[in-house]
Amino acid sequence: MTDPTYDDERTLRTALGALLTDEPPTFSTVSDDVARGRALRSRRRARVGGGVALVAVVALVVGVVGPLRSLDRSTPAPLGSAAPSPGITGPQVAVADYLASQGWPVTSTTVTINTDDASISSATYAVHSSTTAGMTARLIVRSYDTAPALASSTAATDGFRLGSALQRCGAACGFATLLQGSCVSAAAECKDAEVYAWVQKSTGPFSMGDLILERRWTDGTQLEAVVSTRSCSSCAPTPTPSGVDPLIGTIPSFLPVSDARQVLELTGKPALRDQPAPSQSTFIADPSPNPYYTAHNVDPLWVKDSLAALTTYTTGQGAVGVGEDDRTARLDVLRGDERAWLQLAFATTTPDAPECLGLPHCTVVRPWAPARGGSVEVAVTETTVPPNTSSTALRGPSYRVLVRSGSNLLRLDEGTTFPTLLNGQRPGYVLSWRQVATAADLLTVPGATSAPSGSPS
Amino acid sequence: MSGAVGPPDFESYVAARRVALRRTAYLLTGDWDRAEDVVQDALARLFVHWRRAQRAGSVDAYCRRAVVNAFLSEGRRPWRRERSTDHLPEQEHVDPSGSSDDRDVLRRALAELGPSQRAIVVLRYWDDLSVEETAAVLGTSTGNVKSQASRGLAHLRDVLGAVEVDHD
Repeated sequence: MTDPTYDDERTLRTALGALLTDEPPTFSTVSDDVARGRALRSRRRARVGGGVALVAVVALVVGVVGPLRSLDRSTPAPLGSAAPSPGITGPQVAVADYLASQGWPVTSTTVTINTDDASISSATYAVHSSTTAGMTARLIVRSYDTAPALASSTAATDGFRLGSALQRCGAACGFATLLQGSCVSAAAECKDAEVYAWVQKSTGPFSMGDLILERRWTDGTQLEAVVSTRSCSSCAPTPTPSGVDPLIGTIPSFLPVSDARQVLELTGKPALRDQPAPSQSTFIADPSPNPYYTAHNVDPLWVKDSLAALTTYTTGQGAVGVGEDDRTARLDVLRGDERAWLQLAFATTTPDAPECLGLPHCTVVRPWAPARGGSVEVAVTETTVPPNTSSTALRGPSYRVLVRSGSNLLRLDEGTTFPTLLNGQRPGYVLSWRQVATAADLLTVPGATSAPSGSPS
Repeated sequence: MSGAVGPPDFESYVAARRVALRRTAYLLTGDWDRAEDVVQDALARLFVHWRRAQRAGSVDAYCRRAVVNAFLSEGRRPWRRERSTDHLPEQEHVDPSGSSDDRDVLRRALAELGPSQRAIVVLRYWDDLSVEETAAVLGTSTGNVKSQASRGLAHLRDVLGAVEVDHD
């Protein structure tokens, strides 16, 4: 390796300086920096105070409530004689009482603050069955008391979201049914690994079979209940049929969705601690008929007529939009040097959903996490086996995009009827404007599987 | 916004150094918006620790460290995590006569460096820090700075050299 010389360094410095020629003006002032510094200092002080309070809460709950639960599993423990702090211990005791009434007395409760983000706190309830000796389970209630980096809007709707229970081969049912508690399985597609991958990637850690129910308020605060499956140390083992993927079988969580919802109700809305600066994204109501969803949509002006490129992160199996290690379903949108990305995270297979447009194998992908730059209203993904090729059609507020796994990407901007390759060439395939392409459509697109050549048709 | 008033020295420091910090952050992140985020984050932390940094006589060093740490920790957040892939999008055509393409090539080359190596290159060759100063900012050894800087520079030399040859 050649040692760097003075000329190298000078050349590099000049070249780096040239990168700054398109420096945009900053709108941040010194006063803004001072204000942000003050806000950070206030948060840190509040965090220190909150940490002390939570340590006391943990001591109270573990030391008082836990033993009382163990001593008398059939009778709910008194609400803490040590005068629990309203809003912290009160809801936890109420949740413990409720769990006991459902046959799951609490063995211990642990309250923790996320070490990376103090706005996230968790109450973990270790429970045991009052009817089956040795059977235990776990419930985590996470509280997000800082709004995400999105501008709040009165158009946002309060509501619930149901994370996939990871029971991938159960009978499919609608989310409304799920919330009523009569169905605990969201996914019908056994090969829908994205569902599991997403939940594992999310705020986790989750385990196979976990049920995740989130409630979000208009100010961005959230609660999330993670209901684990039962485990039993003294029960007779259940034989697993040979040749069956153990991950595919039905793994019931210990509480149905309706009970998880009740836990969130008892926990109550987190107090909004801090209001972040608004971003360019807006938070609007989901246009879908399901009232439980909200959607993040990018400012149409940002995307309109400017969608320049898409890139996907693929798994080894060619699934579109799924990252390798962190398993994020993610699409990058490039415009020159600017980049935004679309977070595709909420996936469930509901062939009867109107968004599926009658496709036989339809995965509706909805945004779960706020995305910087935008998100997808509807995405339809199909996988053909063999050759194990995935295709995705995305529909946003002002764009339609078709994506094929691998490096061969198509785009379809608003106002056009031609999907075009990234270099602006047309593959010679006309798509109906209102139609969301099927995988078969994509597979028939000439030039979709190899680097295009020649001029636009 | 004019209501917030901080320590006068802090305000003077920010007024004098903000542009330079933002440029450093841009070279680290390759994105002006992210650079702004990084600088805002760093300056907020500097505000909190202003007196301590002043007493230590190392405001600049503290602030640089905050910028670099904000950049590195930003990259570790899951929603910002970048993943390499074997499937690249279609490559842009390089216009051999355009200086903007030279810049694109350099941007790409910088982006190909790992975050830590990129930070070393930017601190050494843009902020003109010594090996020892760079090591102190990054909390690493001088040997590591030397080797990483040398490798990074070699990579960039290859890229820039190729462009220059093309232009010749």
